[in-house]
Amino acid sequence: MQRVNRQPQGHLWAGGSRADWMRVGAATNDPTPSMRMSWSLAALLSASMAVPGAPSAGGLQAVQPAPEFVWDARAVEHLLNRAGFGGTGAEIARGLELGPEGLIDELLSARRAWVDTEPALFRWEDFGLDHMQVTLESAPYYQHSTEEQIAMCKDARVVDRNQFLELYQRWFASMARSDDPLRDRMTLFWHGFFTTSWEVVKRKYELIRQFQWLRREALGSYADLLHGIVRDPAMLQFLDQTASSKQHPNENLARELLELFSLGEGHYTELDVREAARALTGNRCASDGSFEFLSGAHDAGPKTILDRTETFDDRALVEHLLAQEECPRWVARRLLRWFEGLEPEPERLERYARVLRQEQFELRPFLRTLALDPAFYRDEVVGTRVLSPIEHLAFACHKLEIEPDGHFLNKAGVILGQSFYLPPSVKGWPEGLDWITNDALLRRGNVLGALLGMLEATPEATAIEAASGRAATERAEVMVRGDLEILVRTLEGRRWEPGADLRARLAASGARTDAEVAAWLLEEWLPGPPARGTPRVVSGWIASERATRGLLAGAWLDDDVARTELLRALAHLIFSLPEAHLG
Amino acid sequence: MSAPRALDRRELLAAGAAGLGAAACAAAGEGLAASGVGAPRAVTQPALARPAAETGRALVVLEMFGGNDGLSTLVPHQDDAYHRARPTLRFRPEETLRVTDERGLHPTLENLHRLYHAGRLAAVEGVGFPAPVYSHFRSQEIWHTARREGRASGPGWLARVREGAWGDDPDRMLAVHIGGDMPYSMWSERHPAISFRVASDLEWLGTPEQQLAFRRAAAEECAELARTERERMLEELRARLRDSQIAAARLAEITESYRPRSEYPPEPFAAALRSVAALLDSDARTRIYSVVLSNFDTHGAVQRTKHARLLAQLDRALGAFFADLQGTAAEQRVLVLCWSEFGRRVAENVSHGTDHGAAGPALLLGAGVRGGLHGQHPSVSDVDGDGNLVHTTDFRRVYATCLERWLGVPATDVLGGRYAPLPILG
Repeated sequence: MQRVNRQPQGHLWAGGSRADWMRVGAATNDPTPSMRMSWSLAALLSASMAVPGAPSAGGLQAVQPAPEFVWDARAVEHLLNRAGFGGTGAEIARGLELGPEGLIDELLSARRAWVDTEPALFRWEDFGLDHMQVTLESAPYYQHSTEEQIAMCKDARVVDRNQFLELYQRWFASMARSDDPLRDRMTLFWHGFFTTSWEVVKRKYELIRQFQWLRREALGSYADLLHGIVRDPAMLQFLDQTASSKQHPNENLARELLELFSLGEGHYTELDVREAARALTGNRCASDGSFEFLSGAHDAGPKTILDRTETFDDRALVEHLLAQEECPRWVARRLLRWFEGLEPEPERLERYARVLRQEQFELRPFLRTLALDPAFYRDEVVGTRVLSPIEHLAFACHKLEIEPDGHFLNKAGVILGQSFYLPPSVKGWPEGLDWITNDALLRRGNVLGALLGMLEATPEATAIEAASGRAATERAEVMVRGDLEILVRTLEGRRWEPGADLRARLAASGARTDAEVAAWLLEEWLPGPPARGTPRVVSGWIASERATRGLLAGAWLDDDVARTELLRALAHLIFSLPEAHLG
Repeated sequence: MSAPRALDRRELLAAGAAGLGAAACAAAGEGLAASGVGAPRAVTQPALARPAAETGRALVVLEMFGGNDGLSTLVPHQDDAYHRARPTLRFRPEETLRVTDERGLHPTLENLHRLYHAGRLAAVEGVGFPAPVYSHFRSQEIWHTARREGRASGPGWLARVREGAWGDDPDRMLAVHIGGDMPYSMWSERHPAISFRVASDLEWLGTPEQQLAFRRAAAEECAELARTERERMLEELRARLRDSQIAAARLAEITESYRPRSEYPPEPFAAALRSVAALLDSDARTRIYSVVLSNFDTHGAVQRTKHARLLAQLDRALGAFFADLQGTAAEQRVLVLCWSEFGRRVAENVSHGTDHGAAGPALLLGAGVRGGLHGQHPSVSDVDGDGNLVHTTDFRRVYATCLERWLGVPATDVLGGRYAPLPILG
């Protein structure tokens, strides 16, 4: 029997050297480097059976042959990469101590800091406007002059937008702090699964409400989510349900419900779409942004959907979809692709579809089964998934202890191609290598450079000189550089300081020479082992920087600006490496 | 934008050359690249003569995103229904630039007006598709894919050309997008188009030493065999980085050494067309160019001034572009297609703007066109149930014209059906 922890030779990840570094770092929990547990199927099964919500035996019997896996730094980091936003050395040490079950159970229950009671939201009604930004007839709005009315609309938009950015900032901070990592990872998944865009849903209020709901339910039940999404005011607007009536059923929501939310293409007919659209008529977004059912607009007649004829309403329709054999398969496939970064093998897909079915679409048992599945730790899966831009940024911010603000995140999203509530299409964001256009890694690196204070805005004088004197192309370049330039100016305007005290962590690491420091930073910051040549390139660069900055060898821990800058420059370089995008 | 220490052009170009070395190294290991993720990758060097280069004709696809108001672009100024529907937005006949007795161009379109009378502008009126949709994104998807189902139907129409008729041609520069986000029409996994705003966009910003370290790390191990899945993925990411480094060096050389014959206005959109001209003038084999001018979504009270500003920007840039090309070989090789995902509602709204509508003029510009008005103007009085123009020419006929009559590419597979080309070209 092959052990899952085959590892390429020659990098620090293998062979407990990370633990060696951690042992030197006495500040952290003292890990037990020798703690290696072999998990046979039997042990796994009996252990997990004792835990409520554990996968039932039927799901696990499908594993042939029963492999085993080693709970080492590689495995812990893998689980933290996929179920969270990467692991620092201290977190990996803790995971080693907890063991696989302890760690996944903690991830499934973590809820350290998210505020359950959301701040009161401003609503458009507060500004005399309804949810379609149409002025209310009765509003005091009409007593004002045109200029005042315009100002009121503007105020409403600013407030609406700010509360949206504030939410994004809080969510991102939760990711960066790793407060509730698996919930946040799953929220990101559902955000891409049940996509909704602010370019269609004009008011952020409903989007904020949708997000709060998705995050609350992210680890709950898919069945509840599916029931909820056909009554979600933002979704109803996004997919044109507001214009759907008995006389003119709109097929948009019905189509995506079948194609993207429950069954997948090829498992329904056009007739099913049309009939499902009839079942969904009457579901509306009320003018105050809440859900309402208009019985007058609902088609109560019999419909034939997926070989059954009855007077479906939205509840009955969703129950019927959940009962389809294809439904758990579709959801399991999307989840496995998300967590493993690969298209699942048919047998594996069947097994996980069964877990979903048996657990009545509860997500915790599914995720627990996956986290304890030796196959989840196979070489094909570990360290091979391309991070999305938000994930990459969150990984970096987590490792560097940085919490950017909503305005930065918003502007960075434009450059990175992944913005909060702005999916490229109803199908959600790309996956895997689809993210990597020719300039994607460069864009990501530049955004991090800005965040780390490595870039400065073009001085005003230069911009003016450029705009008046030089060739058109250079003048245009100053303007075209807009996105990144604006990002840097935003940070400068807000007196942004990356803030992270990298030196303190470095001191705890025990690394002292340039080579040790390079090795430690690569270990600590990258979500997987560096490529063979990378440590040499990085320590070589440190040497050349020492020369240009006039720094003496050694003495990494001296408190001075030059060394802090050097560490930031190293962070910029390391988080821009190809290795930083695979986790 | 600058790194704390200013970057020196020469150092950058030298670093670019280092990238080229890495590419040679990658080419030597072609066999292993082929065993890696996805399709085999090719370096961006000009290949031997291939079918795609035979005619050398190039298509510039210019997207006016946001829904351009067609009725204010090509004004039906003799139509009473038009004047009734647009009490504040209308143009009187004498305000427009005369095209025919019935039509006039928006007053800002002076260069296009000149091109029209030189027989270089063909306007196809009433271009759209059946059962219009009023979401920017869904309508745009339909235009991008030439299919009702949008992205769900697969790659965009330009990507289908790249993957189909030109599928054997490894030249990465065959399709180029100049601007921010690349439109879906260009998106191909097998033949990723080069996308940039300015050449220095394809640049990781840092000190020259950092940049060298980054390049080295990005190209490291390319000669070694990728054994594990992780190594294969890393090599794939490095390959994509190398692509941009090679393209960056070449694009920087082409765009920076270019000496235009006219003055381009100092605007990003004009700069994009300047880069198109530079590439047309170079030995690059680019045949599809994509550029985007955004912000045409003029719902509000500022429509009149905002739309005028946008059209003026379009006109300045195209004016400079064609003045630059005048009398060159490139002038004979280029066709520009301007389109927008939909027009605006016929009747103006209460805030003196216009809402999303349907159908509008598509403009074709170049030495090869049969200038004048084509197609049929949709009736302004006989609108559909939503108050929108009813299209008279399917947009896929315009595409078919560009594909078959200009690029020499069979259109049926690209468009997912047979659409008759229009008698507009040569």
